[in-house]
Amino acid sequence: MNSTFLKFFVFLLTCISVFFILIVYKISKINYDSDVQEEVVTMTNSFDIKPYLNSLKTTNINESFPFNIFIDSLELSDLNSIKNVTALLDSFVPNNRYENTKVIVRALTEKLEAKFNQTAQFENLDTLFNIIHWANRFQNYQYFDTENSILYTVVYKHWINFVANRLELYNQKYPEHKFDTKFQLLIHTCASKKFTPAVNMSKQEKVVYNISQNKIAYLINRLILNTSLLLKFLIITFITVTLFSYYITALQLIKLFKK
Amino acid sequence: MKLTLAFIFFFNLFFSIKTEKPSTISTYDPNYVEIRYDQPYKNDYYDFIVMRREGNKVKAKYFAQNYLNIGNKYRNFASGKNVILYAAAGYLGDGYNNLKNFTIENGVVIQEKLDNSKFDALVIIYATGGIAVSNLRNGDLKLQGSGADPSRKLDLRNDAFDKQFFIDWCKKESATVFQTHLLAFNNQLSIPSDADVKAINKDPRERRFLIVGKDKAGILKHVVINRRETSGLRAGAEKCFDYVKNYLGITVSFMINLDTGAQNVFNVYNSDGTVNSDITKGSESSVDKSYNLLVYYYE
Repeated sequence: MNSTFLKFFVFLLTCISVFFILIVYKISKINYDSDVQEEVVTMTNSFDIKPYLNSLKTTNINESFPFNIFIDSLELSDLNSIKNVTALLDSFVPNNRYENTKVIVRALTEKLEAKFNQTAQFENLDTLFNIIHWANRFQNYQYFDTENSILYTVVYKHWINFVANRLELYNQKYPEHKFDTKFQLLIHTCASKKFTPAVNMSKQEKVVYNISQNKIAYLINRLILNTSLLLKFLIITFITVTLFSYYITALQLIKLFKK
Repeated sequence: MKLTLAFIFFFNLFFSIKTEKPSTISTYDPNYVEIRYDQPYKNDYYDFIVMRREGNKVKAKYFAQNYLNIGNKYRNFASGKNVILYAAAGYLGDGYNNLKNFTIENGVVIQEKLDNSKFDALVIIYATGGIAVSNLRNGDLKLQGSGADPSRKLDLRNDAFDKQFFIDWCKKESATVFQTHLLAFNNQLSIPSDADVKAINKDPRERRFLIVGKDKAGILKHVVINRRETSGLRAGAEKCFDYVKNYLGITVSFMINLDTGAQNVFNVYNSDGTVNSDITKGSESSVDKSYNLLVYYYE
């Protein structure tokens, strides 16, 4: 072996070592805490919204509806409670089913979101888990109360969309936490519901991520399809040099044993 | 003998991957399509394809899929069709194998997350081959058919009820929809002037845009403009908008980004069915690298 080849060989090994050190560093920074908060169920005292509906202007229900009182009074995850208020509203403003439903939806999405934004700690991922738990109930309610299924569907989808957008903001603010178990669990939960949040990753992080997900076939596929000839050549050289070094080591070992 | 067979096998394997042309020769009336490349304007060069929509001869189609590339979908569609061009259009999420924004294909929901801040263009591709864009920031989407009140304005971003109504409408109408950057609307640039500064990924890239508008004679035209010189999104959009508006004389209804990104799939056919390799320099022609694809064809 001449000295130029040896230098090149050492350089390549150094590059590989640095690359693996970087990967190990990245992996060691990951928070593997998987202690996901269970669903928190709170039951508030029932509150009679009926007196407040007396002042409802039937011509413009969307403006005159007491949204804040509604949100404060309602047991927000209780099917019967929601059904009762919907029926009550239908009795106050009859023959207006579409607008009545829309008002309840507005209260449980836009207005509730505004209230959440003032108080909730969205940087705590457990808060987002709680929202998903809560929203999941609405997904099930659509099968039990088919008359109001549109209401439950819309509320459910709104909050999953909300969590997905929050996860994107979280990722922008704390990019170093993108591989944390809780964050990944939330991402996959949203993705399974077709609300996949976009997580920004560098090219190196993508390689690490796909290795951690055992997506070796996918990596090889992308390697063939999306890399330049130069990179393909370099990777093949890396592999050849590695195999060659194993070969040389094996030969030396065989010689050693023969002696 | 074995060596010869092995050679034939690998030779076929290699070329079967590369084959992207429709199984029949693609031809179209050149009066409806104008292809130009390396057109000089204000010290820059532009490539473009202008397609006349009059007579509904030139049509658009959009394919999208998560996790599996759309190669087979495209090939099934393109067989026997006179394809003019195809380009990857929507943004991809992490792993570059799933769709980033709201996407519905032929009434089937593929991605339901609606971006609330950056991507203002809701692109609707009708079964008739037409394309419409709604500015999500305005919240004034109007629909027709399948029980929709044509005078009702839908605000998909701020009204969850409207969004669900729209999804149900898409299912009934078998509509195709995707969400992307809105760069210009009603003949005005709409992408913020500081977009390149605030962009998460600041790497300059080759750019590709779809611009729809009417020329001075009132003819509706779809323009796919290709800028091989790399730039930020805002910088590239500003130059191409200026070129189409002032040089080609088109009053722009809307201009959207056809994301080059990780896919950068783009291919253009001449009227005799041959590939126009001048305009596609630097881009990928293999549809197997794409998870979404905007196709223009002649029928």
